[in-house]
Amino acid sequence: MAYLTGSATGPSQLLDALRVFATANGWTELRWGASGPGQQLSLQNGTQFVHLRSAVNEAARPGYGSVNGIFLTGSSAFEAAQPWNNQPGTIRNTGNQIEVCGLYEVGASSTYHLFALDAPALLLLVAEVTPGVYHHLAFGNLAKYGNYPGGAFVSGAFASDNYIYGGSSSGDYIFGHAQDRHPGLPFNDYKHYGGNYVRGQVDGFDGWFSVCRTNPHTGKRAKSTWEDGTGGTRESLARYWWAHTPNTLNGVAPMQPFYVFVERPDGYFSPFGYTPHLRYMNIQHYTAAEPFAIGREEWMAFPGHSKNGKSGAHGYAVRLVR
Amino acid sequence: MAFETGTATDYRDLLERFRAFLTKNPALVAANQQWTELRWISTDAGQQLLLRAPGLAGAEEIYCGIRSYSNPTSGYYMWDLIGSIGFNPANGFTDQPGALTGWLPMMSLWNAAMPYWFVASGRRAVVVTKVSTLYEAAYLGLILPYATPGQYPYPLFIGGSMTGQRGRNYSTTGPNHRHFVDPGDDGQNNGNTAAMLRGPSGAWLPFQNVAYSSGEYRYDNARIVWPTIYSYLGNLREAPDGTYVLTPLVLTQWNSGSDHDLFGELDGVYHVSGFNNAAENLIKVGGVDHLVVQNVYRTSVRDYWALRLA
Repeated sequence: MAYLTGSATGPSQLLDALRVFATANGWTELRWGASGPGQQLSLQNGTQFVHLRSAVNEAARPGYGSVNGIFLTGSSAFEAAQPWNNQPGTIRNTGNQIEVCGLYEVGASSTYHLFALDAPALLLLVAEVTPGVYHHLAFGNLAKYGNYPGGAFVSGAFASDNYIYGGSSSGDYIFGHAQDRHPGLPFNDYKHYGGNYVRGQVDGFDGWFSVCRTNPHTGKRAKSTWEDGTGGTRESLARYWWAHTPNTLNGVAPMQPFYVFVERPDGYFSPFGYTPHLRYMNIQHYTAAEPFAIGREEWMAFPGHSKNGKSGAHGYAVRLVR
Repeated sequence: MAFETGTATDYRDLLERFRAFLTKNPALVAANQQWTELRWISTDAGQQLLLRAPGLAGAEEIYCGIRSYSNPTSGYYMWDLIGSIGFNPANGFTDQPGALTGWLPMMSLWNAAMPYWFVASGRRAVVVTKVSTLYEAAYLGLILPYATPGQYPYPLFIGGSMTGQRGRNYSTTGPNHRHFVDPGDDGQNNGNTAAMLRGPSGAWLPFQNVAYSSGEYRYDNARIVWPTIYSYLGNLREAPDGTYVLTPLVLTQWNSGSDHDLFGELDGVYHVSGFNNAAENLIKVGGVDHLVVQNVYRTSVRDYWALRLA
C-alpha cells in the first residue's frame, strides 16, 4: 500500500489517515492521542522522528496566525512525557521557540493522496483542500552525496505561519513575491523564512538547517534549486529549468530532483542531498493528480498550489508505486 | 568505451594518435565501436581527417572531422573541428553534406610536447590536452537527447575551446577562448562559438553562456549550457565529507515562451566544483575515474568540469 487516496473531513481525520498509512508502510507509531482540540502523532523510522499535530483554528505558537491543518516538525529522539512540540532536538529558532512547517487551509472535506517510498524513505501527503488547490507535507530522508550524519527532512506547503501568496508584479506567484511564507512547492527556498528543514551534522553543528532564501529560523541556512527567483534565469537552477520546459520538440517536461545545499562557515555551499522520489516539474501538459509513465516507472503530478492559478505551471511529481 | 592517455610530440602527432585511437583502439574494436576513416590527408601544409562513427550498436552513421594547420609566424598551431550529415569524397573538408559552416570550433595547440587524454565510444569522442599551463578540449559526436530517435535522430554536437575570430594563439584570453562546457562568444558575431549543436530542424545552433567583455559576464542568451550558466556555481564546494558531486551538462534553448527546449546532456562530461580542486585530479564516481579539467586558463571555483575516463 504505497499509494492511497481518499477523503477526510477536517484536519484530525486527515492526520488519522496519514497515521494509518504510515504505520502500514514501515513507520512506527510512538504516540497517537488528543492534544487540545486536535490530535498529536509521533512517528519513527530508524533514527528519524517526526511529530505532527492537527490544528483546529490554532497557531503553532503565540505570535503566529491560527490555522486549520497539520503542523509538522522533526526531532532527534522521542520522550513520551513531552508533547509533540517539545521533543529532544526539535526544530527551534534562534530564540529557542518551536518552528514547524505544515499543510494548512484544510476545509470541511479534502481529497488526499498518500505516498510511501523507500531507499531513501519518503512519506508525502497531498490534499486538495478546496477544489483545484493542493497543499502538501512530506518527511523522509534525502539521498546524500557522501557519507556524513544527517539527511532527514520535513517539508510543508507553509512555514510556521499561514501567509499565502501575496501580490505579484510579474504574474508569477512562485517567483514573484519574496515575502511570503508559503513555499508551495517542496524545497522552494525562494521565501524568507522557509517551510523546509533538513537535519545534518556539519562543521560541528548538529541540528536543523532552514531551507530559505534569507533569515533562517534556526540560524543555519540551506538552499535548494530556486535561489534568487526574481533575478535572471541564470540565478536560479529551477527557474531556468522551468523556463525551458516542456520541450517544444516533443511536449516532454524533464523532471529535476530537488537538490539541497547547506551553507558552510566560509560562505560556500555544499551539496547535501536530493530527492530521488520527488521532483520539480513543469506541469503544463498535466492535470493535478494525473498519473503518467516514464518507461516502467509511474509518477503522479501535482501543482505547487493551483494549476494556472497562483502556481501557474509550477509543480512536482512523485514516484507512484501501487 | 575506450580511454587512452599519453604525450604527443606536437599538434600533428596528437592528430595521428587520435586517428589511431578512434580507428584501432582494442576496446573500441572489441565492442565493434571503432570509427571508420573516410579520408586521411597529411601534407606539409597540414592534415585532414574525416570519420564516421558507428553508434553503440553499429547502426548509426555519425560524421565528424578534424584538420590541422599552422602559422609559425603568428605562432598558432590549430585543429579545426567539424561535423556533417554525410560524406562525399569529391567535396572538401568544409563542404561535406550538411556540414557546420562559418567559424568552426577549434583547439589551439602548439608545436611542442602535450599530455593528452582521449575518450571515445561509438557515439562520441572527447579530447583534452595540456598546452603549456592551460587546457584545450574537444567533443565530437552525439549528445544524450531528451527525445526519442524518431523525434530527434541526429543530435550531433561539435565542441571546442575557441573560435579564431579574435586570434588563434593558445595564449589568447577572452570569452572566445572557453571550453564547450561553459562557452562564450567572440563578440563580433554571436553565431561564432566553440559549442555547436545540430538541432532537430537540421540547423546548427550556437551555445553561449558568457558575453564578450573584459568581465566575461553571464547573460541570458537564447541557447546556453545548464548548469554552468548558474551565477552561484562560484559559491559551490564539495559535499560535507569531501565528496565531489558531478552534475550533467544540459543544452537548452529559449526562443520564446512557446518555443524552448532542453535538448539533452553531453555524454560523459559533467560540471564539478573547483573548490580545493585542481586540473588533472581524478575523482572516482561509481568506481570510474573522472578527470578534472579547468576551462582553458581559468582556475576560479566555477571553472572546472570532469571527464569520465571510460
